[in-house]
Amino acid sequence: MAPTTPVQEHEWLIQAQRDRNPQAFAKLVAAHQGRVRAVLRKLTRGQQALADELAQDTFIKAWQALPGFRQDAQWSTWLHRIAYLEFLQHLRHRPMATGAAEASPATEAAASPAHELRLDLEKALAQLHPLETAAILHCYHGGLSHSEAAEVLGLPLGTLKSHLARGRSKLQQLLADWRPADQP
Amino acid sequence: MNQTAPHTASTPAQSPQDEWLDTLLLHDAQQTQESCSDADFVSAVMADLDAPAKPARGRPAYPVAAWAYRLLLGFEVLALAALCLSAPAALKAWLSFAQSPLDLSGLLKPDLLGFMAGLTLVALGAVELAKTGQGDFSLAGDA
Repeated sequence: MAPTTPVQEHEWLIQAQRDRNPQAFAKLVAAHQGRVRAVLRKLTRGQQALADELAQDTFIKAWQALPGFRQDAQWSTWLHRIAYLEFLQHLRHRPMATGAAEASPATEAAASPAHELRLDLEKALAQLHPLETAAILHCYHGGLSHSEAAEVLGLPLGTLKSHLARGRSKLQQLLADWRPADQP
Repeated sequence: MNQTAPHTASTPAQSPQDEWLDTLLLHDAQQTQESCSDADFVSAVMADLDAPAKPARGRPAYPVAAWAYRLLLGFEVLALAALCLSAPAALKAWLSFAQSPLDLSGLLKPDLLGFMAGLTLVALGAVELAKTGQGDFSLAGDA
């Protein structure tokens, strides 16, 4: 899919919000589904069906709440906030199993480096504090800035940065095997 | 997709030794995002867009507003206080009935009837509260 510009997205947002134009909203969904679903897939430790269900609920809630959306906030931040709250709501009723993520047989069969990295990363992320994981995922997989991620997680910016730094430090140890040989 | 390291101008960049982790994370992010972008998902969302809101997982099948929950909670507290205040009179009426159980009119004393009705209401309210639970009712609204 061709990358979209902020101006285009703003136009679609206006059309979806003021005119309740579903086609404009569909374009917004298409533009943002990758990041929202990627973050949810990682938060749910690779449970694709669950992540997609949460993502679908996120977009439907966003559509329903769109008339009340204030333009002073970033649309992507608002969307990720809804997605994160959806995830937390799910977690409240069905907590994730503790421990490392388990690979599905289909995933194990595909033993490419990319799949190995994904598995190792999921295992490593499962060992972090939930807020460290969430901070890393929103900054990298969600493509949010630190301040946006802090807003999504409902944390002060300094706290978000602390979680991010601690999470990165732990990941460096847990993923040491992936460090290139020429790096100290 | 904007695949740059998520550093803002206000935060220092990571040291060169740390860059491999950025590269790793961004590579995984890109792979995951690419595998998560498909037209079928957009179609599925659009198909459900105007459908009535699904009940939240594990929640009752009817929507409960936060104010309704708090109203019921407040009512429960008031009703419990009233029950505590009326308990001595109800106990007295019950003891009076127990002394002469053949006189069924003892069961119709207002003190006893009122207490029993209050107790039933409190029990029903407690069941509703237990079923509903305290949830976030304004998810999208306050985001």
